[in-house]
Amino acid sequence: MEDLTKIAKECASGDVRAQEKLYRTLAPKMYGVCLRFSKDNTEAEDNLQDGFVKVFTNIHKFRHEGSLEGWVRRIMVNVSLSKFRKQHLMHPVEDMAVHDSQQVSEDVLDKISANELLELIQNLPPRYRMVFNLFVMEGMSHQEIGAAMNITEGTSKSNLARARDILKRKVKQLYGELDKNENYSA
Amino acid sequence: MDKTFRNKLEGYTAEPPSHVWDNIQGHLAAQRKKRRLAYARWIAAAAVIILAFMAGWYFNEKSEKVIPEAVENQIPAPQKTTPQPENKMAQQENKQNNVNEGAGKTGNPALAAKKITSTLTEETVLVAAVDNLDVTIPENENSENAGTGSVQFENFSMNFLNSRKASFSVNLSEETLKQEQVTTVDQLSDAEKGLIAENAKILSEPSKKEGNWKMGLTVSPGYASQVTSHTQNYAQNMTYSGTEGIKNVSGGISVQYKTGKKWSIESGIYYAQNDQRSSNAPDVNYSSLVSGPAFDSEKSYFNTAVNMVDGQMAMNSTAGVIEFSGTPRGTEVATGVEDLYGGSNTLLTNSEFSQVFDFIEIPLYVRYNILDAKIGVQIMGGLNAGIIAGNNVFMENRFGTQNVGKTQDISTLNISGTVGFGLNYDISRRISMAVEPRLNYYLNSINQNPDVMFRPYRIGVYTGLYYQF
Repeated sequence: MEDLTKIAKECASGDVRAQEKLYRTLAPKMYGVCLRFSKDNTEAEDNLQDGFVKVFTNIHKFRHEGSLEGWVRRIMVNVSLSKFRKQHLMHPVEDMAVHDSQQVSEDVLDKISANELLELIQNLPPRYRMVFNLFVMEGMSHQEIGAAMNITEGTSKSNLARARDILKRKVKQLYGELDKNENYSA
Repeated sequence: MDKTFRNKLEGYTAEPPSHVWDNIQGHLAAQRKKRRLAYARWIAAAAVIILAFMAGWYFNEKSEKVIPEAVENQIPAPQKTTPQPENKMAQQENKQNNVNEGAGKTGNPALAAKKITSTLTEETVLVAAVDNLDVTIPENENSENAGTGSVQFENFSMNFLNSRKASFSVNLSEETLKQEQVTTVDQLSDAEKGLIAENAKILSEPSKKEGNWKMGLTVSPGYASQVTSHTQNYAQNMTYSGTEGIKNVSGGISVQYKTGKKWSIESGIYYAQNDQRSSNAPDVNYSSLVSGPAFDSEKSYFNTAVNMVDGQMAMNSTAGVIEFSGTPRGTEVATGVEDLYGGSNTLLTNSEFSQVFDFIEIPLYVRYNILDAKIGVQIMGGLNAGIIAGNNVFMENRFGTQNVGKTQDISTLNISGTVGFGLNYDISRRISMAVEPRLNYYLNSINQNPDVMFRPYRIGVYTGLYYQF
């Protein structure tokens, strides 16, 4: 693999071939990121496209201080975030009811494929999906999430808890049987 | 649980469909094109402005160079006749007429100083005009820059909306494909992929919103005339006042900014000319000249009293006092002691005088769209700052047209009001044509002399080509 820094410099000078090289190198991973933040492939492709247009128009501003991949990934997350903000202007009434927290063993989760986990995330309500992704995958704090999504820290926390709950319930629903059977056979 | 998700999904990769890359390229190409177009637009605008000013300057210079040499030799006789009482008569007449110039040969230093300042004003007119340029243009640039900034931002969001639409339609077809044959997107044929990319490109193209800025070049054939009035003293020794207007051409650059659905504001820079013509009074004091030497009784002479200050002549005319830079060809100056009309000197000529003022006008107009359609109707009105860029007096006789001097007491900056009613036609999405009759009327007398009220007006049909961005 060619040095990304060199490619980035060539991209900044408008070299189309370098742009394609950068795209081919980073697109699969970034598509993965976009897929997690989207409800389906269409939305993910959209975000990927807008994200890369932003990358190429702003690449001359990249200071080569951190990793290029990290920078591109931040752009993808930001595009997903700004799109979420535009599409979900209404603040839903928070469901403050206490949910009986579900218990799912890690063993069950281990057996589920990445594709299936992705689908679970994509099926979460948009707000929960955003918070779950930002907290779990991007490692952002609730404070940062609150600022990015224009919600309070508390809302972020409760959204995360709710997201986890939904995921666990879904896992139980879909894979609970499998789990039991395996237990019996063990 | 978080850990499992993180571990399994962190390194998750998936090959995006190939049309995504095509779309990205399409977007980038469109952006490059837009940027190039923006540069071209600015260069063109700058070139037009520079050209307009160079032209204005050139013509101004040219008309000043036509100053003829004084033809003192042609008029030897009348000046000799009565040199002594001239001073007294001149002073008397001066008091009576209340004309600023002409203190005879008394050598009054205050008056001499006044004369110097009045010659200076012509230069300061030019300087003021240039200063004004320097100030206004960068301002325009700034505000326009800011404007296009926001337009681009809007464009971006529109692009995004449209690209959503684009890929939505693209994905509809994908999904139906999936349902039918359960294949992945990668198995679309090349032709289909090309089509999809093309469609997306086309759909994202018209996303460029119609801009709020409009820039145009207008020219207007017009009719220029004036409203005048003079004090009686002044009028007594004035040239025969011309009543007819002059047909001429004006034009300029117009910049409009749309502030709302119906309203827009307009500025720009226009050039206009106002031109007052008068002949000398028909031979009123003909009789007093019969005895004058070198007087050809066959000729039909016209005459008006002139004041002489240090050999320089000043003559009352419609737009103000004409200050001669020399003695023009084809004229004779008669001096009569027993002149009943109080003028010690009389200019004899059958020439026609025109007092020509060149204006550079910077307007601030408000426009209202009555009908916003392919053929639209607008009304407009507002104020102009009219800067005098040229002040010349021409004389036309059998020797041709000569630049003989300038008009005194003309204010550099004047205010005029404009009203108009226009029709515009959209030739394409960005280019439109407009035909607009306008009336432009000076709200103040452009002459500061209290004896003279001279307010030019102009009726013109402004025809322009506009570019919207």
